[in-house]
Amino acid sequence: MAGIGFELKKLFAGGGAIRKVRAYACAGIVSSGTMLLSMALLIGMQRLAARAGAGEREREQLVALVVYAMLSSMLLTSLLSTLLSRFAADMLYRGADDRVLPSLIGASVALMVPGGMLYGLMLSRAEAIPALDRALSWLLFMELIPVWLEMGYIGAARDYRRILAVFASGVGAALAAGWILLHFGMPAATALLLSLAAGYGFMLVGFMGVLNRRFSKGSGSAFAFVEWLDRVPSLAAIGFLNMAGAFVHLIWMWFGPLGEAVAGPLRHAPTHDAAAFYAFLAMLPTSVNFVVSVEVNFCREYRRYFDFVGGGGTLTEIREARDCMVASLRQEVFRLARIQVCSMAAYAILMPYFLKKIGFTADMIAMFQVMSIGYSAYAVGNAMMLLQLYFDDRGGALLSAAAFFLANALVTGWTIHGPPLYCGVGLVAGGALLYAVSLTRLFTYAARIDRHVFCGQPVLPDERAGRWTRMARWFEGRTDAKGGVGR
Amino acid sequence: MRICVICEGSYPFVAGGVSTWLQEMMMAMPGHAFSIWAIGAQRRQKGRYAYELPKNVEGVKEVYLDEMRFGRFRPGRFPKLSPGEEAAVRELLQCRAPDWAVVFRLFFDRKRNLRFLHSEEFLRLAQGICEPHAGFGDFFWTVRSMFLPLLYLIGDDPPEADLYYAISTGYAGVLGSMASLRTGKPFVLTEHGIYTREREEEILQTNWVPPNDKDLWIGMFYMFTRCAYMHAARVTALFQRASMIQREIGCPPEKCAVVPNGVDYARFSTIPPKADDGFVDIGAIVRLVPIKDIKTMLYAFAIVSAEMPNARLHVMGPTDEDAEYFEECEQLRADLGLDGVRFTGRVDVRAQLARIDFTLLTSISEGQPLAVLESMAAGRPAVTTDVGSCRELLMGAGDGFGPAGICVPAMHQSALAEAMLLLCTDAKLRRRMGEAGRKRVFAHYRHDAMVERYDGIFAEARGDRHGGNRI
Repeated sequence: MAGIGFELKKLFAGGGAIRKVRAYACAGIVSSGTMLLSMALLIGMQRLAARAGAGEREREQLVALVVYAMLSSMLLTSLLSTLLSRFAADMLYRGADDRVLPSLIGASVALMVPGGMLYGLMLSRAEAIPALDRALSWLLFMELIPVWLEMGYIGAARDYRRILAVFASGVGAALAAGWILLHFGMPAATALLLSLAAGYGFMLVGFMGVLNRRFSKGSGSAFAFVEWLDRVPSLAAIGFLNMAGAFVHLIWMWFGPLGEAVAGPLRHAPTHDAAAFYAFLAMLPTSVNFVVSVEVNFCREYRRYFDFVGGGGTLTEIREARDCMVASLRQEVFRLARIQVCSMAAYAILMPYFLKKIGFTADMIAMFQVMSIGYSAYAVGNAMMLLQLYFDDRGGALLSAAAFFLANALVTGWTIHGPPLYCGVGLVAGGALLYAVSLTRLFTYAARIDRHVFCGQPVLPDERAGRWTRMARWFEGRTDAKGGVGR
Repeated sequence: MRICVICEGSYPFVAGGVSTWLQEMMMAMPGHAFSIWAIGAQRRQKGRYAYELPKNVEGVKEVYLDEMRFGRFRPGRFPKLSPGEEAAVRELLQCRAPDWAVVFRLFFDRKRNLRFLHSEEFLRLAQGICEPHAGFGDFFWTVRSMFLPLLYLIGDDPPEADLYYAISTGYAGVLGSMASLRTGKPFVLTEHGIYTREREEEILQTNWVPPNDKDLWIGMFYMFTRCAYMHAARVTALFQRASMIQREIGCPPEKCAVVPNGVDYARFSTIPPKADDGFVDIGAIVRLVPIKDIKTMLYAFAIVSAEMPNARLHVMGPTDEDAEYFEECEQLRADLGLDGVRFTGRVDVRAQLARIDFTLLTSISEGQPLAVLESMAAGRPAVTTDVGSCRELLMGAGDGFGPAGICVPAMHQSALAEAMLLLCTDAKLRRRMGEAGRKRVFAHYRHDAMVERYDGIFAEARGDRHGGNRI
């Protein structure tokens, strides 16, 4: 999600701001698109495994190994991905293109080392699963960390054609490899894990190629981004809470009445998990529409307002542009909500015909429908939370993300022993609260945008160095001493 | 009496005319205890004084403008302004005639003052005073950054004293006014140059203030000056012309007084004439800064040097205040091939004057330069530019002593060279002018007389204040 949350004051200096907003919008679709695609890929792999005649136990283990690798890596990277987007945007704004890619390497290393150890430790206790499969899951986890992080930068590359090509070839490579390996009689779980690792490996390299084409050769410390933990610490929390909120009910359910042990510490809740994966796909319309409508309509007004603020607009012009911007924001958000509600209704009504065919029970379908509502509310609320970051309202975004996470966690915990219909109520509650909080905050904030823009900017920069800044400078010093780090 | 001297960008950090003047005056007033309230530009100056503080200086309160941090930034609310407060603040922001008593009462705390700059009250006021056709964003940020130093400075408590004494207007003058209003103690102001005019020229020439904002900036400094004039019990100038300008800017005539600078006559008048050694030595007692126009000095000396190879120029004064300018001057000296020019750095002026035939001052702006007075007291004529009170010093206001040097237009290389050549070639003229200068200093510019005048002014201001504001 490159480009979000840039400081408004930098906008006033003129050009380049809108490019970042677009980069951010593109990144929004790319990152949620990746998640959606990964879910689709997972479902595809399950189907392949079933067709290859894999036993239920083997399929369960396969899914658990993939889901754990995905969720763990997503949660881990969410700590830094939003922050890195901001770092990249700030660097691009400064014209320091060469500082962008080293941060991707640095962040990957910073997360892979402790993440790899913890994840490896967990897998080592799932002794019932063949060691090779566990090793492949670990490899997948390690690959996914840089892949998710790449998503934060890829938006700024704006090379949509190549991005899509990499996606398509990654997914294609995974499915083809899976089909071939199964054909040659390799055990289903091993074959499919290997093919997923190959597919994501393909994406990892492909995206790196796209990024290398866009950004100049790296220089300077790979850990310069840690200074941003001092500057915009809330972005780390926003990223994590937002991501954790989207999955906390899944993890809760693994330990509820529907949950079962897979092997060692690995657990799943097969009926609930399957329903959740399909429900997750309900978010697609917002992901697409957000880019299309925001990009075309809201951004035009947004840009006009800030052009007037920073470019010599009179008071009357600024006020008029502000009113137009707020009106456009209102129009776009409610259009987004309408489209999401309509498409979700159609999806939740029509999908069960297909789900029944693949073996969904009535309870699972009910869960699917409830969670479709929940993910829909989340999709629109999440879009508004991202809009809060357009206005650099980090406080508001943090409030929205925290409300979402806490509501989902608490309500799911509270209803966990209820009938299956209650499964997903936590997500609905979280999504609804996110929607309500972000909607209220966004419009209250936007209505008083003059105050935030004019009064909220510090008269003087606070240049005191915190712990992270000192650490970043230490790394910078070491890099300088070594004569710079290339890629 | 405990006197708090308020200095802006000068004593005790920067060596130079005003600082030396203050140092010597404090030393000559052992009966008073002084404290210094010093406004410095950069924190790195902290504790690095250019002078050894006299024994009767009890303390230095330092405040640096690059230290304007108010802790971690948190925008906050500011209490709603009453109609009277709003009127005062509006006048302040428009650089007109605010009720300063209200302003000082309202902005008594730094953090609170910063909150004001981030408040909706401030935004509303700015919206109210911005011209309809002007760009609001630029106006808003300009006004905010313009008033930040003021609100930072007046959000501080004044040091305890019986009398506040500012040696310039500007921020120092506002602080003097603030201290006087808050403590009820009198405030006296002395101007060596005309601060407002200097700032005005600086702003007109500078690039960092956008052309549209220059009026506003200049207006702010005029407002500061009027504030100081309004609240001072007595406003002194060094010479008549300066006093007249003070009145023009708005100082009530009854507060104005002229107290010329003074030098230690006994110390300088005993310097013997320089023995003839085959060279003509010219001395420039100046800081190496652009306002002293050292480059014109070098160009002019190049003309002299071409005709008089035995002429030497000694530029005596600190070179570290503007290192870049000094480097440029060094380069120019090399480019012009001026072997007879020497940059001595800071020196003992009295000892050096013994080796000098006459002195030179090429400043673009001056008040009443001590260097010229010292040169005159030592019986050395001076070539000066016609700035500040230089003409009055050299020609005398009809005192019958005759000229004590030659006064030429500022930045006029050939006129400077011509004057120098005249003095270089005519030893009799040097002696005659030197004698006239010595007599004039004895009659009008003695340090002891000056100290006595100031002593009287301080006592009068204090007495007047106690006696009910007679001024």
